[in-house]
Amino acid sequence: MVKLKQLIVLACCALVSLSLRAELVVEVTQGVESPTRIAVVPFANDSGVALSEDIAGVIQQDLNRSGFFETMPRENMLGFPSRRNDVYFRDWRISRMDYVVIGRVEPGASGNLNVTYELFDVLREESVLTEPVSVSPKGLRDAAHFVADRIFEQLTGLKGAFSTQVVYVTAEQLSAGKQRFRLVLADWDGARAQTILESPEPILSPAWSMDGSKLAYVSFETGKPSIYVQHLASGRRERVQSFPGLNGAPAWSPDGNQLALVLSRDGNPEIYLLNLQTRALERITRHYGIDTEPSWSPDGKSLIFTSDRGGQPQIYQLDIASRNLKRLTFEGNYNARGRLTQDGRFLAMVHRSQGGGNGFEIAVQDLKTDRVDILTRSGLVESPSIAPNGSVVIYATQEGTRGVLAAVSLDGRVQFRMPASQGDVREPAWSPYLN
Amino acid sequence: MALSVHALVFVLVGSQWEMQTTPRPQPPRHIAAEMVDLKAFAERRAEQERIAQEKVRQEDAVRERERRAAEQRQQELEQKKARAEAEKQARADAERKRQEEQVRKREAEKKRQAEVAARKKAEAEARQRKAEEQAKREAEKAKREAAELARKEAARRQQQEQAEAELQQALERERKARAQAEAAARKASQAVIGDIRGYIQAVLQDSWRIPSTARNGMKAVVTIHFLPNGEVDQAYIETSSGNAAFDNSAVQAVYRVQSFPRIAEIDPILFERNLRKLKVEFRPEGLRW
Repeated sequence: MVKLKQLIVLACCALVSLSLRAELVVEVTQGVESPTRIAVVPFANDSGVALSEDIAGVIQQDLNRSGFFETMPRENMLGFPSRRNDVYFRDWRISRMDYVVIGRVEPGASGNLNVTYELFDVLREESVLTEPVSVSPKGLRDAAHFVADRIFEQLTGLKGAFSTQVVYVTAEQLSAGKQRFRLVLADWDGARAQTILESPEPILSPAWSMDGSKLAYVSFETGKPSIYVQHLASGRRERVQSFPGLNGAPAWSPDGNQLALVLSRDGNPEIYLLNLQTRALERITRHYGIDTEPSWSPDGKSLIFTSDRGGQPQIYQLDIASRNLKRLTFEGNYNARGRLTQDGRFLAMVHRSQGGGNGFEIAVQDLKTDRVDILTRSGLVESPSIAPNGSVVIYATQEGTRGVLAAVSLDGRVQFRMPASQGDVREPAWSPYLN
Repeated sequence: MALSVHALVFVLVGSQWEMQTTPRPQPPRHIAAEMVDLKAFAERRAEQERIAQEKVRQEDAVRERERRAAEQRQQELEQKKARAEAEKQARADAERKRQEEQVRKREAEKKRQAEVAARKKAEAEARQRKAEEQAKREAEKAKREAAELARKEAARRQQQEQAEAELQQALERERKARAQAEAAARKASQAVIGDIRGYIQAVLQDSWRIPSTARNGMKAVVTIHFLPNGEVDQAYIETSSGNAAFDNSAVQAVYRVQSFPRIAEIDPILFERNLRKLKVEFRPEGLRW
């Protein structure tokens, strides 16, 4: 009996000491805020034909521009392995890389090409992801964006947005009094731009439908502003609304059934909802100030818009069902053209801080903490539009006297200029996920 | 029941009534007077006197006869009495003699029996005495033996107790020494562990590259298995932050370090106890978001 008790006591002591042992926890609360380091080794071309695209180059640029990655310049690489056995982790570790991507292009069936890539974790010395991708020789850029998406998702947990597109408007002064306006569709990185509408009259405010199949925009082609919907696959267009006065800033509801838009037919600009099936129009703001630039919250339950009802432009949120209005921005004397990330947490906008001489910059506000971060230093920006995964904000800015497109990662770490198009570039709109 | 009670009451009351009835009055008795002749009366009186004288004479003669008979009876009775007296005396003497003889005999018998009893008693007493003496001797012997045994046992016990006490003291001294040594060792090892913890923390903070997806409030717990030479044997996510990039960054922070040379300097027992397996909590503070 006594022995049993002793045993129990001993067992308890052992348990306690065990649990005490398990208590030893090291806490790490600081680190280097830094992008993930990744080397994208040029893919070997075993296809026997010259390739139109540098696949690894596109992947590298995609990853780099997302702001989440820091890629290794090729000239620093100690070797260009294209097969698993040729990857010497020690070399990549010395180069301070966390991940390395290799790949090769081989001939596939019926004139296609097989692109095989493999992602390695350098520090754990193991393969993380590999798969073959079959593409036509013309689809190499798509394949590259696809691979970049896969790697991005594998390493960040977020869906990649490298296969998405942007639309934007260009304006050219052809001669005195004669202008040419174009609506241009391009890859998210500005490549493969194609004109989908050309007009001598202004084109404004292109907006994507949530399924990525249609665009809505304002065109002055009839001499007065009208709202059009254009189907991207067929090119078919339809005019959905035209009223005297200002007709502008269409925005698709997430379910695709409604357009929020701005009409000034009742005197001053107010926000309306247009039901696309019934064509019923409902006015949802009533104020003598200007209410404009509507944008939907991702859940479709509220709109955010710009209003100067407070004396200066600020961004408000209107709950559609209850019509409750809430002011979102308080920092700075100008906040406009708000756009929410798909998780609803961040608001990107054109912002001007207090004090004279400040320019208009892209800012992002954390709606959880109301912290505002200014992302750009260009002085004159407009029309921010956010990638569907919230990683990057694209916007229009001035370069000399010309409007160009630029982008900045949401954390402000990476900024880049889109390849120049002809003319003055403005009003970019980032597509939703297209696949 | 009620009926019987009624009946009883009735009977009692009835008898009462009967006892209370008053006796009937007796009618008065009537007296009858008679006429008497005086001459006849005197004749009858003379007659009566003569008869009475005759009667007295007769009675005197009777009395004389009775006196003589009584005297004769008295003589006879006295003779008879004297004879009976003599007989009785003779019988009483014989009886007395017999009784005396019997008494003598009984006493002799009694005496004899008493003598036998006395002899027996003496014998029994002698035997008992002897037995008692024997028992006493034996008891004393046993007592002596028991006393001896007890003495020996006490001596042995004392010896044993002393030995045990000495052992206990030795053990106690040893235990105290060990406890002191352990306390000192624990203190020392705690200090060492504290140091090594700070060291590991510092190394990992240098190594941790916080990804863009990290947010304040995220937390990932990584378990590290060390080799005694300080190299990382393996590291894996014990508790996920829910964010793949964040989890990756934490595990990679460990693998990036690869080796923690100061762990190799740790006492092997301490290493086994506290450092072979270690948990690290990655919990960023002061991020923008």
